[in-house]
Amino acid sequence: MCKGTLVKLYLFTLVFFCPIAAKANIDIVQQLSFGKLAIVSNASVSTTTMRRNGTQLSTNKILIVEQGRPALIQLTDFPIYTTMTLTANTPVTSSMAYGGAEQFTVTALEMASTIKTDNLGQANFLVGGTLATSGNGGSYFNNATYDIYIDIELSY
Amino acid sequence: MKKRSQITQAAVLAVAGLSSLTAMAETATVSATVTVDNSIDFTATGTMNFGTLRAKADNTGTNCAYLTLVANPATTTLQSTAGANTTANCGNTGGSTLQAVGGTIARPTFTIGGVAGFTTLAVTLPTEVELTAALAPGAASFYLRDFTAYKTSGTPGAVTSTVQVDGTGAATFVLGATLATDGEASTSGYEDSIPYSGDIEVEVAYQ
Repeated sequence: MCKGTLVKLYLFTLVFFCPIAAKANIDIVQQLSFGKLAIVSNASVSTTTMRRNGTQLSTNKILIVEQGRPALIQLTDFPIYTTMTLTANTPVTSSMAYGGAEQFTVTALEMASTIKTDNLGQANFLVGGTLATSGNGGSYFNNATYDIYIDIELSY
Repeated sequence: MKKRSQITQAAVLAVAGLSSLTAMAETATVSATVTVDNSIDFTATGTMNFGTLRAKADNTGTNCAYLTLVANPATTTLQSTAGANTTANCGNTGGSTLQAVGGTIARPTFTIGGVAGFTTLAVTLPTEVELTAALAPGAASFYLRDFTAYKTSGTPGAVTSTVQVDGTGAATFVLGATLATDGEASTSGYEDSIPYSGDIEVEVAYQ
C-alpha cells in the first residue's frame, strides 16, 4: 500500500515539473525600431524615446524622419497565472561593423516591471526604449542601419 | 516505519522540485534598430525665364540697366525695381538698355521632401550668376543678382533665409531675381535671337 503511494508521488512530481521547463516559448512578434532619424549635429548628446504606446519624442539635434515602433513580445506555454519580473541589461551600445562610425546607445528600456500569464500560460508585453547619440562630435554613416541587441530577463 | 520515511523523502523531493520553479528565468533578446538619414530630397523643375528682351550694354564704364522677376507668382510682369546688390553694381544706366518685348516669364520650382515634419531648413541663394551666350563667345553677358524665393506650399510667403516644411516633411518654393546688363567695359554688345544661360545653384540644409 505504501509502495504504491510512493510511485504515485514520484509520477506526480515528474508530470508537474518536466513539461513546464521544456515548452516555455518566447516569440519576438515585432522588434524594437527607432525609425529613421536625421542627426543634425552630434556635438552634444541627443536622444529619442520610443514609447510603448507608439509615440516617439526626440531631444536636441535628432529629427524623426520616419517614426519607429515598440517591440512586441509574446509568451506561450509558461506556467499559468504566474507573475514574472522583467529586467533589462542596459545600457547597450550598437555595433556598426564599419570603422570610424559613431555608435548609438540604448540607455533604458520602457516596459512593465512585472507581467502575469493567463489561464493558458500566455502573456504579451510591449517594449519601448531611449536611444542616445555619443555626443562627441563624430559622425554617423548616412543611410546606414544600426543594430543593438538587448537581453530581457523574465524571472519567476 | 521505514516506509513512512520513504514517503516523507519523496514528498520533500516533490516540494524541492516545485520550489525550483519559483526561481526560473528565461531570456529574450530584442533587436533594436535605427536608420540614419541625413539627406534631403531636393529637386528643381522648370527654368528662370525673362522672356524676350531688348538689351544694350554700356561699353564705357560700370553702367547697366536691369529688370526684376519677382519671386511671388502673383506678379506677372517684370519690374524695374532692384535690390541692393544690383544697384551697387549698376550705379548709372548710362547707355545701357533693358526692355521686355515679349515671350513668357517663368520661375524655377524647388521641391523639398524626405525630411522630418515641421523642420526648418536653411536656404542659401546665389549672390551672382553670369548668363552667357554659348553660341557667341565674347558677347556681352547678363548678370542675375538679388535672388529671392517665395514659398508656394502650405502658408505661402517670402522666404528669407529659412523655410519650414509641413507635417509630411515637404515644401515648395519658387525663385526670382534681377537681371542686369553687363556693367563691365565690354568689348562687344549682345547678339540677337540666341539664348543666354547660366546655372543657378540653390542649397537647403539642416540648421
